[in-house]
Amino acid sequence: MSTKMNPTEFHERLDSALREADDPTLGTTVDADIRLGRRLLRRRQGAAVLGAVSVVAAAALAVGAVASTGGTTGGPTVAAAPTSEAELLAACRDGNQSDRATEAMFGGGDPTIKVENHSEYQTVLALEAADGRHWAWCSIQSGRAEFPSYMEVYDAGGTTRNSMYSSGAICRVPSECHRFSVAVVDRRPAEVAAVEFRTADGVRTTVESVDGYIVLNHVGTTPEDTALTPEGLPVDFAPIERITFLDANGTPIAAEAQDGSGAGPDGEWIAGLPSITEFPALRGGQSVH
Amino acid sequence: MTDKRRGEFSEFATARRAHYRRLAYALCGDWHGADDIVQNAFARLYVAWPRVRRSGAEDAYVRRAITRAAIDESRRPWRRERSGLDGFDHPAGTGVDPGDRHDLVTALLRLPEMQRRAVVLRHWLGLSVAETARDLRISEGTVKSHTSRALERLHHLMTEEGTPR
Repeated sequence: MSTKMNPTEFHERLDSALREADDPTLGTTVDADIRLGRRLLRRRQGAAVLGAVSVVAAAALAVGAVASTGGTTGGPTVAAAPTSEAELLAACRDGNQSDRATEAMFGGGDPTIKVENHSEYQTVLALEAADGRHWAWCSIQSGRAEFPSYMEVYDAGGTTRNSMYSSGAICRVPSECHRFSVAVVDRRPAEVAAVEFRTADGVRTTVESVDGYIVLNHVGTTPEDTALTPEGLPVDFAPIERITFLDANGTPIAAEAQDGSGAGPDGEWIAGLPSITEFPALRGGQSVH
Repeated sequence: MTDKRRGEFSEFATARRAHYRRLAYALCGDWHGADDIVQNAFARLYVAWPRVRRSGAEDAYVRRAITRAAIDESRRPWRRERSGLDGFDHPAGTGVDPGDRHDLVTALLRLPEMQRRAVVLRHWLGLSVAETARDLRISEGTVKSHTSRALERLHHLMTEEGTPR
């Protein structure tokens, strides 16, 4: 009896499965490919100019460092990641989102950067449109040459009880990875002056609200003996274990256990505190696509 | 010049898009992810079109972009939304509905990444061992061992889960 699938059988069965599963009415279009290609062309042309500026800035930095330490040698010059307001906004504008989302944020002029938070893996921004009608979560990943940035754009007029996070393994070989990134961009009512996040590595990070905007951008490490999924994340991984909303005095006013360690049928209630849904997120339930 | 690029590119993309969308799906198991991968691959092809067109390597370019992007995509963080309505819904993945997957696609996704890519390129796309090795940047011997192990593992997975063969 054979212990292998026959290659011909594999081909026929996979071919049939793909044809059956495919819905040609879904998916993007050739026109959308071209629009994205043109945007990428423009960005490459812009990157050539920015690259030259970055080298100058890094060289100036190296000179400053040598002068301040009295050193005698300079190190290699490394092009800097975008950090100026103009560079950050350009990266968000040219991100891998729909034209409609870009228009919502940039159609009325440049948005305001309300909060920016940098990690070794990415820069995360909270942006508010000039007309105040939309706000956005913008992520700019440091190590990606293609499509390194993305905006998630929300209607500023609505409210939702949902909360959002972004997380993933950040190593080159996910199945051997014990480092993860987790980010949150949120907007909450004025009563929420700060938010404490306890992440999967046990670290507690408190971020202050800036006009309601709350941004977490954390890189952590999980224990070496943690079992990993093929995507490189621990089995049953909860990158954020607990969220606690704090008032202006630092007193907890709401909390939620996201790792199931609390009370209640789903283990999310924290004794003595209301749910964070009592202070709903200030955005529409759906992002702009 | 732009019109010429657009016209040639559109003709190629229209003819080949559905095929490459299925390749991306076979590699990542998610139509939304596949759409992202294919769109990025074709956008990159658009940028490189004059050079790639001259060398007649359009298919190889897209195929390699998709195969390599599928790896990048699997490393990319994703967004998850927690529902705050009436209790707690476990976060759902971005557009993945495992219930919609064919058993063979589900089994494919359980293979190690390189075995999955090797067996799809070699036995679904029908590339030669040498072509598969070039696309994956591995030796021909490694292609043979990966495809052999993949077919063996698929046999076990499909049998142990009671799927009729």
